Amino acid sequence: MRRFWLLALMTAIAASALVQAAPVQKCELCHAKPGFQKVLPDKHVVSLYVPPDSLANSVHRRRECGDCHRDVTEIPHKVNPQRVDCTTCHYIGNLVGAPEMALYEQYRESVHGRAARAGNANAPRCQDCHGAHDVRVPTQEGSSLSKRNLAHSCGRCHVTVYAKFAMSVHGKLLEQGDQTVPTCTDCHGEHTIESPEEPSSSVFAASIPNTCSKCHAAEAIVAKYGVSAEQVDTYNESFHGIATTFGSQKAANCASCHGAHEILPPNDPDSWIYPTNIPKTCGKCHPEANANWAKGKIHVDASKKDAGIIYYVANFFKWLTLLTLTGLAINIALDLYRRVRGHRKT
Amino acid sequence: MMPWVQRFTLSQRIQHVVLFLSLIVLALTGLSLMFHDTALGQFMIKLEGGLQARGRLHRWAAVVLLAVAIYHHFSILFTVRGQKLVRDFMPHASDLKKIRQALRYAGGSQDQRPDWGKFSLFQKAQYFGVILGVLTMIITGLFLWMGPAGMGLLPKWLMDLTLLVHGREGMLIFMILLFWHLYNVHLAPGNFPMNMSWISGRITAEECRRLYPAEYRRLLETGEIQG
Repeated sequence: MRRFWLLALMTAIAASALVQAAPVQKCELCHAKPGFQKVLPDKHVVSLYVPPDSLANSVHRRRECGDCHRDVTEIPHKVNPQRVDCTTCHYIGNLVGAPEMALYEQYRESVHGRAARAGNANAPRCQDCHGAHDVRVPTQEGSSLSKRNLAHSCGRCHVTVYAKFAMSVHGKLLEQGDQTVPTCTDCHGEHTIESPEEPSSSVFAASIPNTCSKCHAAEAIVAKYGVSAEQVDTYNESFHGIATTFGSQKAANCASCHGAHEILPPNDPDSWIYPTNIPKTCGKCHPEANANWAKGKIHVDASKKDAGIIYYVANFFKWLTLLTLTGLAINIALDLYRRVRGHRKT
Repeated sequence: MMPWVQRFTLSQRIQHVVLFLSLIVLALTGLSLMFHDTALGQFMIKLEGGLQARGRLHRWAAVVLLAVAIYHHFSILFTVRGQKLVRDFMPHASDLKKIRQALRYAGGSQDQRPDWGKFSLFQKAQYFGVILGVLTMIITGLFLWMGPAGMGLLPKWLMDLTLLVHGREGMLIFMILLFWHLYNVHLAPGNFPMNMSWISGRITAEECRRLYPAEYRRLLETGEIQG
């Protein structure tokens, strides 16, 4: 009987030890404490706290700390662990079941990837955008890359740009939970992101009309905001549009007049294209711009009634040309008829 | 030897050549811009040395057109031959009667050609059409040439109108020249490959008698030709 109790006690102790062994990793002895931090020599405080549920709710919920922090081999670790290198798993042909995507290579050639490879410690690596312990699928609510959070994530580094964007028509709608308006990556690209000075960038001067037109030439997208989808066509027919099409980098593109991150609706007095602001906006390139420049529509489509006198004069010329040519055709026909008839007579 | 009737002076023939050379360059460079979004337009712009070179070419041709237009206006104001040319081109009340003749002749209800003077009413209309068209193109073109400076002078909508008129009027002139003038002086039966009077400045007395009977009678009366 005694032996039985002893066995039972030992089994219970072993079982409880087993049960506890899984969740209590040694790392959590320190890193699960909310106040765990270190103070750098420059008095900068770095939190080393890892909320226990952050990994549990992430796509890496089945991974152990050591799967990523491979250089930590003893506790306490005497040297600072290096930044995690995601490509130890995330490469095409990996054996651990990480998604195989071409995006990893695209990042290498992007402006961020090149800066990182050149040794810029501030250049973002995977975890800076995707999150570290709490990395989630970008479409998932709560991901640092979800439609709603992405701009804020970029804004952690691009502070002034984010401050402008947050006040823009796009940024405000995004803040209200609108899922259609563009966030950073819709214009700049994601893993392919390039400096605007690079011709391959989607926001390179010559590419901007094309990039904006992804939404602004699509009736289905912009109609619900009361925005016309013809602005891209009328731009392409304008002096600026033609020059841009033929490779000019000086000619104004959408962003030159409307602004990029700070873009506002045209009826907002702070908008660059609010009538009283037009001389100043055009004046960036044309110092002679004056109030006359604001007297009339900018995006004019002669085939639309709202073009006013332009529409009527265009129609006048259409009929004048048609009637003249008809008259000339009749004249030629009569002349030929007479000549043929004349021949028969003689 | 067939007797000839002098129709155009050397100066008028040179003006005509300068005019049509400049108009051809203006039409090619202008239309290539108007149709910049088509493959042909882009090919033409490339041929013209790119978008900027195209613009320079267009403006050089415009300067030539402006020069010949100014020269012509001086000649019709201050030279005897020029003044006579304008008198010949002036529409006359009797032209209305001759229109009826022309219609009847064309329809076949009369065999006699209309009794035109030196120029038929169609040629008169063409002359004043060219003057009106060139004037419109030069005025609108000069405003467009001024570019941003011109935009400061006119409100934006008037500038848009200027651009519209320049393009549509240019197109109209091009169509008239292409379809009507080309037919009349090149393709009409008997004229192919072309009516040579633009080079020689003269037509045969027989042609004059047939096409411009009133002028033929006048020349007989003044003794400039012998019947």
